[in-house]
Formats: sequence, C-alpha cells, structure tokens
Amino acid sequence: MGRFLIERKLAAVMLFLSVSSSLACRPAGAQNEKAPKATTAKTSKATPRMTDGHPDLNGRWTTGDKEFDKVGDTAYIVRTTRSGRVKAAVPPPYKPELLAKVHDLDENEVTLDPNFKCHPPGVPRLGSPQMIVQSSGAVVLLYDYSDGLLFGNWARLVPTDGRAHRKDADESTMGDSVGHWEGDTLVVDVDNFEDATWLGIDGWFHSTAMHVVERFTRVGDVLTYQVTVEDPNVFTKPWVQDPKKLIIDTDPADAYTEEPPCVEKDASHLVTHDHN
Amino acid sequence: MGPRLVLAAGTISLLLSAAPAIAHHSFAAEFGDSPPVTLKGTITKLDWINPHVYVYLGVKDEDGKIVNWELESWPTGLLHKSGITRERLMPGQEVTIQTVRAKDGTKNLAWIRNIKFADGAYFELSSRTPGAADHQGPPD
Repeated sequence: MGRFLIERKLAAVMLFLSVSSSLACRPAGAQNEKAPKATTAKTSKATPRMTDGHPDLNGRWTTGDKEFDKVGDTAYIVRTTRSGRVKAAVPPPYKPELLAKVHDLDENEVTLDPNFKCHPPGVPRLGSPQMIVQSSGAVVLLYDYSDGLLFGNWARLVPTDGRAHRKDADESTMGDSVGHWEGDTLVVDVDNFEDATWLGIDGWFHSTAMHVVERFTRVGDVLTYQVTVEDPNVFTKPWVQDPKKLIIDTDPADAYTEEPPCVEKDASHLVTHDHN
Repeated sequence: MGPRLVLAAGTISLLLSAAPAIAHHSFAAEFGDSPPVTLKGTITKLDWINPHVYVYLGVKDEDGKIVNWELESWPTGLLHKSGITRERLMPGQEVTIQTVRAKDGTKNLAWIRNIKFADGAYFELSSRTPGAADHQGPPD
C-alpha cells in the first residue's frame, strides 16, 4: 500500500507543477484575502472568473469545520459531534435483494473494507477535493486526508477541453474523468471504474457499471459540490447525495500537506469487528 | 503539574474534544479490559504513519533488561494538530507514557493514554470512544 501511495503522491506533485505552470488565465490576487468563516462567506459577492469567463475554482477549499476537513468519507458522514457521527441523510438506494449483502459487509467492515487496509478510496468516496488547480484546458483535483477515515494524498486530472472518455484505459479506482461547463457549473463525468472500492464504511459496495457525475458551482466565495452516483446493477435509482457547501480557505495553517504513508498494522489485533 | 503544564494539557484536551470522535475501528475492539500501565523509558523508534502512529519505547524491567514496547496512538493529522509533531517523538527522548494494553494478549502492545516529556510537556491522548471511558483520568 505504501508503494501505491508514493506513486499517487508523485503523480500529485507532477500534476500540480505541470498545471501550475500553465495557469495563464488565472486572475492575479483573486483569492489572497483572508479566508472567511463559514458563517460569513458570501454568495452575493461577485464570482471571481478566469480570463476565459468560467468561474475561478482555484484554491484550497474547506467545509468551514476544519477539524472535519481531513477526516474523509464525507458521503457517509455529514458531520461529527461530540456524541459521534451524523450519518448521511441519503444512503445509497440498494436493491432490496442486496441489502443483506450490504449488512454482511458492514458487519465485517474491518476485514473487508478495502480502505481499512489502505487501499485507495477512489471516486466518489474521496469526496470533495481539498484543493483545485484550474487551467483553461484542465482542472486538477487534489485530496489530502490524515485524520480519521481516509489517509493519503490523491490527484485527479480532469480535462475540460472537450475530449471524450478514453476507450483504451484500464478500469481504476478513480475512473476516467472528463469535464465540461454547463453555464457556471463544472460538470465532471466519471466512468470506467473497477469494483474494488466501497462508497462508504457501511458496506456500500458497487459494480463496474458505476457512473459518477460531480457538479462544482461557485457563487461568490461559496463552492457547492454535489455528486450523483448511478449503478443500475446495485441501485434502484441514482444516488443523489446532498450538496456540500465549501468556502475558500487561505489560512497558511491549512495548506495542502504531503501525508505520511498509510500502513495498516492493527487489524490482526482486533478482538471484535466493531467500527465507529 | 505547574501552571504551564496545566495550560498545555487544557489546550490539548480542548483540541481532542473538538476533533472527530471517529477512527477506522473501535478503540474497544483492540484495547482495554486491564488497568493502565505507566512506562518510563527511551523512545527507540518512531513509525510516523497512518492510520496510527507507533512509538517504540525501551523500558528497563526488574532485572535491568531493556524491553521494547509497541505503543499505538492517533493518526498523524490529529497528533500534529495537538502539538505532538514528528520531531517531538524522535528516538532518544526519555518519556513517561501511561498506556492501555491490547486485549488480544499481545505482549507489550498498548495504546498511549498520555505522554509526559523530559521537558515537562504533558499531552492527554485518551480515546474519545466509549470503550475508553473507564480508563480516562489524571496521569500518575
């Protein structure tokens, strides 16, 4: 697993460097002001734009709950409180005949959840990116988790130059992403998934037929991230996740961090399968 | 514990209580069931990894022989935010650590409940999961 993460981290650095150098249309100083609190982030403020006219998504984004930003599994957990986790309001709509399997997987999460042993969480379990690097022809989504359920750095390159999905790529945990703009919303279409990942800690499996659509809409200083997951093999209907509000974050203390490797060592010492 | 240490412990306690009370497995699934054990020794190795940081502590037994303990703690992100950086735990440091032993009987494997450094800095790292409630309390 350490090998995989190192490869991902190298990919993240390379993508960041290559795309950063091509940020020809990023407006200067658009996001240099101090990060607003969640309660003060404005949607009435003019939306910063790139020179091509599209909303500027560049920057580090926070939920406003900084203790929660690096935990991960945000489709599963809406937020945490002192008494524990508040689970997703909209769980995946599994076919009735598959609910027993979901329950069984959940009961054995500590031995069967690929993420438990540091396998990449993949899309859409990665949730919203912690950082976005945008150019005129591509968007790079960067992920940084070190504090709860997901651990590591990941990067996704999303072409926005009008190209179609690749036909020659192997199935993967991240799938194949292509983006396009619908008005002021960046729509990222993802297919070509392997089925080794879960969608959340509660035994939420999927098939290779999964298709994911992510929507990024920036209005003022608020970015709305919304995910819809289709999988006709396991769902009765598309799983439409609740929209998630993000705000721009320029606090240096929250800078993107290269995380240590994920090496699971205590599974063999667990005496029960309880998970939080 | 002097005023400075009280402040430090209070700060860390506040940070931990605000942190998500979640982990990739239940605390009680691995640790507990026996009284806390306080160990004084020298850090011999550090695994600064996720999902858990491991501190290896050389402790002298009754015969004067050094016994190595494997001590597990929170993820790197939480420790770092709490003020326990990687540098803080580098090998060679003398520390006093209160621990909760593994339930499966693995010898010298335990969870770090709190840690006191030679410079007097003290960090409370009790689990916030219900299974650890019986083991919370002040250091020895």
